[in-house]
Amino acid sequence: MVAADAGTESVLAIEAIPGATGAAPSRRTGLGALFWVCAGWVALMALLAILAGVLPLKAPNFQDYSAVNVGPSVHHLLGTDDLGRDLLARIIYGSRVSLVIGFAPVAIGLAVGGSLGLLAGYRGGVADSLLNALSFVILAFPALLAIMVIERFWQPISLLKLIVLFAIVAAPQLFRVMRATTLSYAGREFVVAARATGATTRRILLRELLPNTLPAAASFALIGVAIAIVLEGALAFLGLSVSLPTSSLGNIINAGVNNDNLTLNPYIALWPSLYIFLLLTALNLMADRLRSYFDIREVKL
Amino acid sequence: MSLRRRPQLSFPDVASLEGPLLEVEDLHTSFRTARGVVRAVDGVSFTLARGRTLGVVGESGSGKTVLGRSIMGLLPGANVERSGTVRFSGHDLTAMSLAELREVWGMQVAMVFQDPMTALNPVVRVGRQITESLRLRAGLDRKGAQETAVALMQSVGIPDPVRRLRSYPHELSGGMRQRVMIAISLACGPKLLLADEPTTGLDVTVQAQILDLLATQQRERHMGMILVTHDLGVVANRTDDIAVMYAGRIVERAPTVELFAHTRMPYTEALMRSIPRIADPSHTRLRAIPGRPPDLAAEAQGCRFAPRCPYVQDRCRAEEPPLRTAGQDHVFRCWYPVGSPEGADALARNVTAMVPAALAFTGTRVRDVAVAPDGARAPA
Repeated sequence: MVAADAGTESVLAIEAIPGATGAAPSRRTGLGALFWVCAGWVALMALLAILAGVLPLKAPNFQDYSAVNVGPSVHHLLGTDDLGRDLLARIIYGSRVSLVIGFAPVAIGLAVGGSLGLLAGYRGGVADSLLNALSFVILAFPALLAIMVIERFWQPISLLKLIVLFAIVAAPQLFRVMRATTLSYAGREFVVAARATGATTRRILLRELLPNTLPAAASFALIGVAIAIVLEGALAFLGLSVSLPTSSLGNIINAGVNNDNLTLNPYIALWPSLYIFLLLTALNLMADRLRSYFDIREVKL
Repeated sequence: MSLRRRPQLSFPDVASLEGPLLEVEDLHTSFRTARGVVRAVDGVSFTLARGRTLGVVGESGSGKTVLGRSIMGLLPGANVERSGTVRFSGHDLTAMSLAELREVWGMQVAMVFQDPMTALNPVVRVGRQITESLRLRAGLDRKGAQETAVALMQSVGIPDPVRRLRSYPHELSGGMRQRVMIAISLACGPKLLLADEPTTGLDVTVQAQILDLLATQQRERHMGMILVTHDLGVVANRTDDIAVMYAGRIVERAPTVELFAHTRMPYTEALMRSIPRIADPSHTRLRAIPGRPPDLAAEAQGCRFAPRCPYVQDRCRAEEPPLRTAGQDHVFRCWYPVGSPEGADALARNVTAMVPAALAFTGTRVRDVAVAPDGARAPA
């Protein structure tokens, strides 16, 4: 009772006395533990991929014929494949390709498509119409098919070429997301208000619009990363990603289901599939949490 | 950005300024829409001396918001046509390039917006929204801008400014947000403040506080101010002059006292009568103005208030009245002004002819007119 009274009193005091230093507004609920667990997982995977060279891993392409198709053990934590290669090493090295293919094109797409979308959404006009039409044209092609066709005429396939192709697919989508969100904010009064204080176009774009539009694009980009990883997996499975013996998650799975390996040693296909599953789940959860976190603002008003 | 050369414009100090602060001359603003050309501002002229307050009054759709934005040059780029001149401190704002206008905006002319909910960036802290222009425009360093922001917040009556600077707009009440809005507009010490319905979204007690705050700031800074509102009561004792707008035109303009004492324009009279009075007995019917404001896209002929006017005569429908003068600084647009013999005649004729607007205006019932004993229809 006493404590409750004291509490009420202090609340009133904050309202009554100008200059009273009350508690900061207690709205920050944060992104939640799940988001950080997922982010931690993605970060860990990225770290493993980056540090693969200095980690005490076996050589990913070394074929140890004395240990073919062995299960998980102390020597080979995840076992070996049908050629005696250490699966842990192959997956971690293979994840380099997947992660680079996942993040790099989306980052490029966000930088190019996102900034064009911001500009087009704010300025409008002929340039906006043209970019819009162009994005429709690119989006009209089924991504996987388009990439496969282009690859056919752009041999040999390299990581860089894949990144370029994926970025071409990602950019128009991010352009559209960014343009749409920018459009919905560009007409708001705070933009006019910023103009009324003499803000330059650059400042309006970067300081007024971007903080409002970036969350939507970022959340979409995370899903884009997941899609790109799957897409690369599919291409690798078809042998259209980076060429062997460089490992990628897709071609490990491919090897895992060929030559009766699925029955002889299911681990080969299991581990990389599990890796992709966990990574994608983490990315999707992050994207979802991010989206709802930045949506709450509107609801709470 | 700092490398880009800023246009050099010289603005005389307020104290040394000769002549009026703002001269608006025959300002037209129209929008090209699918329905045709909408003339939102249709030939508006007025002058504003420094340190004075002009109230612009009109109902929704009368073009008052567009007038404010036309003066500043803050119109959306496409489909808008503006003509006429707006001279601020002797500079013609309509002839300025965007780069030059940016020097004027914020530093010389600032605007308080109608809805602080939407006029503040929802994802940027209040503090940065205030300090940004202080740093970029007034050239203050981080510390200086912070201190000025705290002082500004204090001067607009925000308690605990240091903490409030760290708040996001949604953490503040409507009144607080409008105070922040005012602080932002005052940050760079403008010489003219355009307040576009600054109290519309606020409840009555807060309205009074905000209006008093604006009046105080205006006095202390010796700014010119244009207070745009739909509420004649708001401007009644807070302005030096009032301009009443209808359908994009100023239909009456006079010093505030003169306007209330010797109203000439029937529209102004109707506006005044539509304000509920505390002295009225309860359940008194509000005297709303019947009808709606005209479609600004339609071709205009005659007086635009004619369809709703209790004084309306044939001449009003055919010929638009020019701005006529009535005494010192008092102009109006009417052929049969209120308080004149012609006006009284016109109203009496309309009541006899049972013009609905006139009957509603005088409170005459149809019965009273119809059963006049001598057979001729005359008011009872």
